[in-house]
Amino acid sequence: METWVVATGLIALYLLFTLVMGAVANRRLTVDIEDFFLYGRKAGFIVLYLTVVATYHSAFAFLGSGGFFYTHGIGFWEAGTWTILTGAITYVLGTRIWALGKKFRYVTPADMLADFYESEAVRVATALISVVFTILYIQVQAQGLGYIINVASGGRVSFELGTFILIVVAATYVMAGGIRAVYWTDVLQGVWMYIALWVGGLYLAYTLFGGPGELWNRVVTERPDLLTVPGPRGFFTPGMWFGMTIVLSFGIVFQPHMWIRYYSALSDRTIKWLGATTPIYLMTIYVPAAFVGLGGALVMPELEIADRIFPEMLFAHAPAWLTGLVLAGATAAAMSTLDSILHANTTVLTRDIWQRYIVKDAGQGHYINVGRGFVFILLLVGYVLSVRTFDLLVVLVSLSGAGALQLMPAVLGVCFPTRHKLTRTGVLAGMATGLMVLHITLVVSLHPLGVHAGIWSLLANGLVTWSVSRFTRPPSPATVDRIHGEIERFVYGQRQETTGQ
Amino acid sequence: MNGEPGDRRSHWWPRTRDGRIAVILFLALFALVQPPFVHGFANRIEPRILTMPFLYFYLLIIYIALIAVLLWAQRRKV
Repeated sequence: METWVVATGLIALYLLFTLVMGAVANRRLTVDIEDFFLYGRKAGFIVLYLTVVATYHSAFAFLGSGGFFYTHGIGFWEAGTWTILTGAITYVLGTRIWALGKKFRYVTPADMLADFYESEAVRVATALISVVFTILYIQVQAQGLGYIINVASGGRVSFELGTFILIVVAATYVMAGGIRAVYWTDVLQGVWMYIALWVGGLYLAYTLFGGPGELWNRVVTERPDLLTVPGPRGFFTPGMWFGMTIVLSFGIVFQPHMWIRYYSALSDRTIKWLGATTPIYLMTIYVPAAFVGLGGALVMPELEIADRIFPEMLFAHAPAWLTGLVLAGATAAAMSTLDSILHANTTVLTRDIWQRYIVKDAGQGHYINVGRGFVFILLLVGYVLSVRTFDLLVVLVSLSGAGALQLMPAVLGVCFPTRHKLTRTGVLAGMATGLMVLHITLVVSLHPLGVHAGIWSLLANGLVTWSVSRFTRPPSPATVDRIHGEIERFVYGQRQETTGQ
Repeated sequence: MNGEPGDRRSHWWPRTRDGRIAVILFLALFALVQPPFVHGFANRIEPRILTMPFLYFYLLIIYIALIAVLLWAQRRKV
């Protein structure tokens, strides 16, 4: 049987399975916002682990990472820094977000920030940043899906049609089963993508080079320029290295699809285990990606689109069943992130905009149905964006992360009690400045002085937030005491009395 | 505490011994996988270790150590 038939068939089988999972999740769904949007705050370790890693890794890990190793060399092994930092942030910050979410019934990131800063403007700004920048992420995943099915079918299914089919499938099961469908499919996707990447990477390393050891020998001999930084094209400068570490850790954690996972956890212990153990999965997935990218640079040095190196090598050197298995795994990687973002953006739009400003006191079923409507709208927006623009996947992810990074000073002001309180005016001025600087350092002058735009924008944001907060009115003592008091009790086991009481 | 309304002790520095150890260890190790270490001392192919280029192995070992710190913090209930 021809490879494209097996590959496309396995992807079709996989899609069918996700739809079945969506249908089963739909039967378990109750008419309850917290059930549809937050899994009833009952997600245990295994489900949460696999949904977090599957959501974190996407088309980016499967296609973009191989492409980066191929083009820029070993510098992409830097990925370990941001995946491990993500674990640490989950451990320290994720537990605090969980505690506040549980205590004050927060559903979205904006719920928390608006409550502390006592500001509807903060709510709207947070919601907009959450949605606008993660729509870019929808675009990344949709483009990844388009590539995958286009390559898997040997060009018989166009990029546009492939993107459309896969987005529609993801949207269907999200609408049917809400976050339960997302989490259940992510469990399958998280396992499948990890096995697929390792099996595919090792197979290519052994088949083409006789094993990883010989692969390293060949790269040392033939392409030593790939084995140091900043790499053959000078990409991994010190400023970019540090910038990508921050942007792809904090910037991803502050996106609503990751943040909402903290709210949905069963307990703080679940989150701490996540923080300590998810880096193992997140980091080690880049080991086979290095085999693919560096090996590809030796055997297919003239590839036009670097992101296609993995599927192209499989088609050229692997049996049909393995190619199908891996490409279905790549589909899983992209869909597990896409469905989470669709769901998270739906949650934000329904909760922060519709429920807050348009229809305030409707029944829970109304908001669930509105959420389903938003899934459909986001599907259309994501599709249009994905077929009209085109760029390297990793660059798009960086832009997305840098946008969400603008929430960082505001979040730290809530989660880390300190003597100097940040204010609503301060965080709004900081976000506006950060976004402006992000525009300048990405569009007008790209990564000035070799430092990532996300770092410039975060520095400007932090400076303005802190400065403006010095001479503007802080949140009321009652609010500060309620929220920071809860953090104190949660972290150190007792509610510290303050002089404000 | 400076006596202002709503004021409380800062959370930026851990108050427990294990917390402080975990933070210092993590930050120290993390600094080793950032510039200038990566772009200076570690930025070479030789000596190769277990066939891996030096930079790759150097990063791998520190990543493992960082994960070990997180696991230790979890065990100590930091």
